[in-house]
Amino acid sequence: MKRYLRRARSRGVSSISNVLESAMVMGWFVALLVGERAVSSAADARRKAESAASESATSSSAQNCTAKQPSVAAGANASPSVGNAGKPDVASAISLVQGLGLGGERTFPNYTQQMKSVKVKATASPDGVVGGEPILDGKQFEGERALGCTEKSLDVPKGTLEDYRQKLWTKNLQGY
Amino acid sequence: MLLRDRRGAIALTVSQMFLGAVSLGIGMFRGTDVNAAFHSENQVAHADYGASKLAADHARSANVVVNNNVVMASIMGPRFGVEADNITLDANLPLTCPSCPHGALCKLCTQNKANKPRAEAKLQWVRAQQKTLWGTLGKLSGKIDNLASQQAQGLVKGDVAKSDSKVNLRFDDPAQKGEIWGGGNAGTACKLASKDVLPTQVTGHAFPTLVDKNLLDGLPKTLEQAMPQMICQLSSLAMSKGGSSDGPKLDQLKEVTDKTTADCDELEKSMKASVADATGSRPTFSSDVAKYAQCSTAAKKGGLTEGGVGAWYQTSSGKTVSCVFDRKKCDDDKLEDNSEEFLRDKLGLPEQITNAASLASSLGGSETRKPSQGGASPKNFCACTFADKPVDETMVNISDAVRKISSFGQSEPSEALRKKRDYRSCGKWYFPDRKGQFASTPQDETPFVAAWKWQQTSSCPGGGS
Repeated sequence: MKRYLRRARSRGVSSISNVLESAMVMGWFVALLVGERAVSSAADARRKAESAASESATSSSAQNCTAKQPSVAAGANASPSVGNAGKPDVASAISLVQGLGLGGERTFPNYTQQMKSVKVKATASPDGVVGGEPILDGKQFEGERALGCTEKSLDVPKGTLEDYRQKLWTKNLQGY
Repeated sequence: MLLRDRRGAIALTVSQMFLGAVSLGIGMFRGTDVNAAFHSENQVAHADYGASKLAADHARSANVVVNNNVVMASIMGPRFGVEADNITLDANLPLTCPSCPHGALCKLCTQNKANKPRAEAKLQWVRAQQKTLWGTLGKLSGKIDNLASQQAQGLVKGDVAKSDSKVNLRFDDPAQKGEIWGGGNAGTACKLASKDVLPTQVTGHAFPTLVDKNLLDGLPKTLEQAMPQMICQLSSLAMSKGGSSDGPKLDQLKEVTDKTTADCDELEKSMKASVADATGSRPTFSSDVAKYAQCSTAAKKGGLTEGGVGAWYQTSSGKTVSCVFDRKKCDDDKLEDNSEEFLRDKLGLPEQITNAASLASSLGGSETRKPSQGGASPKNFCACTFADKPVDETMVNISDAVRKISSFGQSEPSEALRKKRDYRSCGKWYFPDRKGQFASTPQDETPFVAAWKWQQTSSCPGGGS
């Protein structure tokens, strides 16, 4: 024991004040390390949330506004929500066309169908534990994305002219 | 010994604190970097939302426009049919009524007179509906992109403001600067309508619905084929200048053929009179006659071209010149002219439609639309959104402070972090031409197929953005 104390004194740990001072310096670095770890975890969590939101929004939009969960960015929770985003301002066309007995044709919903957009909110918590406690305990990071959506084509290669003409003729002119 | 220990500890402490301060500075600097990176990413995301929403709404508008085109074309075919029926009914009257009261055809005359008002009523109805439909839908097609753009911009601004009120959004959309769908497309609409309606029961529907038998079988079909040229000006401008041989020829109509015969008789008589008046010199023909008169030196008196009907005269040098009237060419030309004139009278069209405005007026005030720049992916079918937001002031200050300390006071405040940056995203909408399910669509029918799609892009080709 005495040998160890002698060796410690010979290396500058010669008094209580020196010991405390060294402990403060080392503690400072520990604090810096923990802080760095926290910043890194926070950045990682934010990145996960952003990536999850981005991927979910892109895939949902591309699939005609079908809500899709992200396949990457494990550890993030994404909540894609598909919502109505306005209708074309075509009331005059609808009343006129319906007045001719039309309205059931395959492409008619182009006038009436809501346009849609997808909004995604993703959250992620930082990983890592220091001293048995989770880093930034309870803190959640968010990423948000929104996109307009693609739409399924309502028409077919042949076109719908015949459908509209046939119904218009039958309802209004056939038989004079 | 103690003194050395103390000095060593102090040196250690000072150097460790210096390193600590540097580490702290690096940590803070890194924090501002991370913040700036997410700041940029979020602005791009806002711009992406604006671009995708604008492009998606424009793609829907494009589908509405082509749907308008389809509906407008769908009433034109029935109008052609009813117009043709009414003309055919009128043309049958002089063929059937002279046999009344006891002739075999009198029944057809009676049916015709009794039922013509029904056909006339339908004609008035379909003309009025066609004009209303074309006027209303054509105008809507011209302004729908502007309306859609305004609506989309409002929604995007509202949504972005909810998540971050400091973001400023700006849009560059050609639809806000003018109409991106142009006219000059009525010919395609009418051509498609005619093609669509010809093989259907619409053609000649008045027989036997209103009158048992049509004595001019085939006339309704001929008339329907001629309607696009007459009503929609597909080539009537060229015809009026005599540059086309594709005009209607209603040789089944006695009224038209009688006038054609009379016209050509008169021109031939005029040619003969001019030849007779020629005394030793070349006869003078009117411009109408000159088109059909062919004069040449004959071997002997009366040496006329085979098949021609002509006259001759003697030149001052004693040579005999024979002139032939090309009756066949005259009959062809005049039949076409008289057919066109007949149709114009019957259809109540203006004497001559010379420009797009008067054509649109005759069709109801507007017409079907096609992209003003043409093609399946016009350059102006593309819109961009720009997002900007100042970097958080606290972050900028931290960054400045760290940089200043690390440069021992030499560093200036960061311009890069204070600079106003626009983050851009664009979207274009296009017709998926020659790919996928619409591969067989001819180019000129492109605007009539409702399947416009959109995609995001980094910039708009040809645009300033």
